[in-house]
Amino acid sequence: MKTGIFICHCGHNIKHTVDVKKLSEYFRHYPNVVVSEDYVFVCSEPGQDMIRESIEKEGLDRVIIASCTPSLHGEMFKDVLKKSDLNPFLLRRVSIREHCSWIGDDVEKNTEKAKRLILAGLYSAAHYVPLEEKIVDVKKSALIVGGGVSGLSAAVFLSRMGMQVYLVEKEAELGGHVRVLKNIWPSGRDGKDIIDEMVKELEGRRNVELFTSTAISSFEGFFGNYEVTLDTPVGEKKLTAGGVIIAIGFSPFDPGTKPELNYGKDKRIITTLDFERNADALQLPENPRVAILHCIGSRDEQIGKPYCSRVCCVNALRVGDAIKNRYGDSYVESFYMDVRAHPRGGEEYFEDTQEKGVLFTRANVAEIMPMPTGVMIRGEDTLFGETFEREFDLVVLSIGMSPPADSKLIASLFKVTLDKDKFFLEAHIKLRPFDTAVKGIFIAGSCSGPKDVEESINHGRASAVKLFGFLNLGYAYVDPFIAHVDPKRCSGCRMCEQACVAKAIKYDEAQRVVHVEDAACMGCGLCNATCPSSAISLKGYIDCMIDDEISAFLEAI
Amino acid sequence: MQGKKIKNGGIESALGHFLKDEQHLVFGFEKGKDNVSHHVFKDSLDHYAPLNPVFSANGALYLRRIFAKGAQIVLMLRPCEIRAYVELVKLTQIEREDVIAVSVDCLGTISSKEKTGNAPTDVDPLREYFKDPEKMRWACRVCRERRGVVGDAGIRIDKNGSLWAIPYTGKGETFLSLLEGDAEAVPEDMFIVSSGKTEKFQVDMETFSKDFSKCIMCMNCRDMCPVCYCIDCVFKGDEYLPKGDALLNKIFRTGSVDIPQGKELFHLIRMFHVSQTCVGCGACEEACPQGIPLTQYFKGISERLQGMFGYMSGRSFEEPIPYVTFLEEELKDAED
Repeated sequence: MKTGIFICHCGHNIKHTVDVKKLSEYFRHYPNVVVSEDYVFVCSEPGQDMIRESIEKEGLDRVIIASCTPSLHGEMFKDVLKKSDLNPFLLRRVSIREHCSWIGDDVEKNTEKAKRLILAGLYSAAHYVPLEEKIVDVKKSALIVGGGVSGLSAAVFLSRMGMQVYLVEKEAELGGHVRVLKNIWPSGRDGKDIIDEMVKELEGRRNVELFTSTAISSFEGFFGNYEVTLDTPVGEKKLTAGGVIIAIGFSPFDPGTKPELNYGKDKRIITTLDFERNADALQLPENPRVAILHCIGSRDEQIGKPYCSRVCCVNALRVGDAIKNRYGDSYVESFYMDVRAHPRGGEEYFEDTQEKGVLFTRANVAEIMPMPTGVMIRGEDTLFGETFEREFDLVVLSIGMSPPADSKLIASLFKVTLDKDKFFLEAHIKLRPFDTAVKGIFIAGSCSGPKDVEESINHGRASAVKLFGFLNLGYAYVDPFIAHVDPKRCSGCRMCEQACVAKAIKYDEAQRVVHVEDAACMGCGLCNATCPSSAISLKGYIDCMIDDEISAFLEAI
Repeated sequence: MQGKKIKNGGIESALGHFLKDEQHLVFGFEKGKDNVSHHVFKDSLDHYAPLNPVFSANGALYLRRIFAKGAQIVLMLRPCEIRAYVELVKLTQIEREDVIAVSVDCLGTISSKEKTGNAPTDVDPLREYFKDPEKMRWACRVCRERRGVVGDAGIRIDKNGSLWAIPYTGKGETFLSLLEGDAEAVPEDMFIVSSGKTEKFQVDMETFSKDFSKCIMCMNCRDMCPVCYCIDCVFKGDEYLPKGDALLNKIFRTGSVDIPQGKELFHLIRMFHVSQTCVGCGACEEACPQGIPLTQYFKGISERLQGMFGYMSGRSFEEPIPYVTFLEEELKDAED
């Protein structure tokens, strides 16, 4: 075995707390190591040349690059190996910057730790074998679940790009919640117009199929070739989709779950959504007294909704604004915890509303009590620390967003994960905010957490772009890190079958062993961990590799 | 509940009749010259004993990987053995189709390591013999389920010492039809009652290390465990227990080592593998040449673990093993 070790200074980033010279000197005399060099920027052009030359001159069969985190420059270094005709899976990246030099200042300790990290890489790389990335054919078609504003905007983008789009909506009408909004802040547009525009475009396209009043009865297959069965009003429909965008939106918080609000028992207590629908039909006196309550169903640990719903502060401001516009001499008081008018222009809008005469009282409202003459609000003013009781003619509850009612059902159907608040969880909050953990399944809109209309549209489009990028070529590369069953060791107990989230494990009745469907396997390793006889191993992460790596860390401690 | 009261010699004649068929077998106990032991009867049921007061191994061990179609086999075994059989069926290690599993009430057993000659085999003397529970093996003394209420049918002992056959499944009805007489209501009270709650097992790492320090890694406990079903064990090979050159390589890399290495790891991994299916029969302890109190650990831990899932190994064919069902909502209490 001929291993080459390249240690990067990363300018001063690594060098200033790790003795890189000592490291390269140490490994130069290590068994199986033929090249051990340190260089100021291994990722630079001359740095890459150095690796390439060493591979060609010394005939390296393992390359270890000790530098920044593997997620940075990963593909680039793989290409360096490819250009030198070395299998890119014989490359090992060791993070001695994020995991070492950036953490502490003690040069001696850091150098020792870096040595240990590189050693682990060395032990592990000894078990590497050349692997091939597989190419699978993918269908250029997308299933979009949910015909709300984000689902529709994803569908519009994908249909414009020529992809086959199947849009499924459980209600009879497309548009979701946005359809009923008469005045979308800040443009003032009617939600119905926005929806109709998008639906009209979709209806005119040959590559779009819209299914309303439809449920999804089954979902199988794997990335690029998902098999979907729809339960439509005209019968069952089977289709194949390359990828999926889940955009099932949200459920408005039901204030009925908080009995102290007395919502639904008195028509003078309404929600912002009720106000939006029926503002004209409200029977208010000449100069009405109106209370607006913020954070109903948000930031409330007691009902298990600790999150901020993001849209309701602006909604509350809009109610105050509307009342003030209509009744000049009205008395409008907003009871808030904090005003988070976060979208662009929100803060200015907050100022405007205040200038128009809406009073803002920082308060915890304990109870709303309908009385013959009005509605009594009892609570505590949290700035003055005193309790109050005030009577109003109308109470508007600014309700937040709850996870969609179907979230559990849809999550288990598509085998994607929900977060602690039961919204859909993204694969990574910053780096992969549109992806789920399942390849080819994306999320869009408020089903992944409260969003306003603008954000939902953007989210839908962004997921559509990502999905388009995955499917556009008609084929896709699949990681070679998939599970493999040794039939000689398999006892056929089918434990792994249950553990597999991708349903990639199939039981062979005749042989009484299981095997893995390569294309479906996601390489998560759950089956590997479940198998009691270690009959399953994950290519690229075999057990003895990890054992050796751990022993390298623990040796001589 | 309906069942049949078994007349004297009723089991023997029924099973003897059953064995007339070439393809039919009975797996039960035979009263030999010196001992009572497991026996597979073919053609005739000579020296059959319904009860065996001596525990040597769990009979389900011999049933692993019975897949043959055609041969009909009746199991007349202890509840712990039938429970292990049920677990193995769920793990697709046994084809249930051609097996009728009958659990026979267990009055308790003594270890095969003790002087076994004195132990009686008939119901009444046995009841008398085990009146003092101290005579039993520890596993039997703390057994949760010595009642023949598992499998396809059960043989129960009533308060007067008469035997009753009770069917639990369709296969059990087939077994019942072999017996003479008519079905009648079974008495409510039986001689053996459920032992109910057991003590919560807890041990510290120090005691654990001390108890297992005697282990010589012969792995007899693994080999005799009825639910340790893998055809190839992870502990085979050099990964966990290096020998020869592999051992020397390891020593040169890591320095001097104790031998045998990793015995605690071996038991912990085995515990992880069997804890959900363990029936607490104590076969591991029976097989241990070093006298390690394995039952205490394996039974104690598995009962606690199964309790968390409201599961009891071998109780029913339908109840899925918690380990193979992955539920999003489970183990909320383990989150913190």
